[in-house]
Amino acid sequence: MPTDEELATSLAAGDEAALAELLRRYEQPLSRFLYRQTGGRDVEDLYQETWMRVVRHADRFDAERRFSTWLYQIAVNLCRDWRRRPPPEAAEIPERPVPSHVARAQAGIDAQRLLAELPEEQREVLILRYYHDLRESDVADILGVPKGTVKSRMHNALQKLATIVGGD
Amino acid sequence: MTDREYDEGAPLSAVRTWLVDAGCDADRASALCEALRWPIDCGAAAWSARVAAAASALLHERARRIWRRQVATLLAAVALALPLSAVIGVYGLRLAYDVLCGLMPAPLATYVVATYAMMALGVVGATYAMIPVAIGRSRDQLAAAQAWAAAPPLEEVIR
Repeated sequence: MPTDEELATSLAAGDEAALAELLRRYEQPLSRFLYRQTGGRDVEDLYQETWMRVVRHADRFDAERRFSTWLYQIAVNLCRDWRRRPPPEAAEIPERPVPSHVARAQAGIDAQRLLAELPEEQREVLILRYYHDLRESDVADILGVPKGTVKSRMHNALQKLATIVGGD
Repeated sequence: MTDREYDEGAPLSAVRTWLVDAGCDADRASALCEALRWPIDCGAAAWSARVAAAASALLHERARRIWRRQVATLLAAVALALPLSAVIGVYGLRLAYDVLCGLMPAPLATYVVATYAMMALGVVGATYAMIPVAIGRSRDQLAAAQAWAAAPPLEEVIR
């Protein structure tokens, strides 16, 4: 089975089957990442734009690096650009399935609101680290910051969450 | 949270440990982790199909561009090799003729060299004549691969 990096190299040569396989491998992780980053707004647009950038710039991909890191870097940059845009009018956020009504009632919190409480850079670190189970070094690569910065952002994010929970 | 967890990836459950270690009430920490679990199903398969369709023309064009570049490189190499092989061939034939003239009568040497030269010309001619055939076959293979990639999945055809 070809690696992600080999598929990306084939994609640079115009191989549509390589794109189909990459889409199959990353459609869930990427869509969930975008969903959590944006709270569910404009996810489809961001998803499509992320992949179109991958296709357009596949020839710039360095096969020595990990494809997933490159993909998330593009997604993170697009999310940052998206946040800089003026907010749309009354965006509809779809209801998510509630895993535990008891816990939800006790704490009065939900993931969407909690993540929205965090500054962007802390939210990025938290999502990549805890939802996507990426290593600290991968998160640092994706965000283009030193590992120490990832660690401190993570610390601050969790401290803020602890404060929110403690304050409820 | 230990450095080991930091280095090897940290599942969501590690958040609870961190919060409890930081002095947060255990029940609240559990509730927070439960709330942070956020199962998402946003229909990404349909989006992927749209991405594949949107990227199709771009990928076709890229594959064709790469194919044209490869053909141009091949033709340039072949065009450069032709005069070189002709010069070497002529030089070799004259050398062979001189050697053979010392061993046999000149008309016989001429006959041998001329026969060899005709055969070599035939081989080179056939080789060069195969180039357009090979290019045509390569173009057909590219078109077939693109048609295959553009075809709907087997499940849809059966349905």
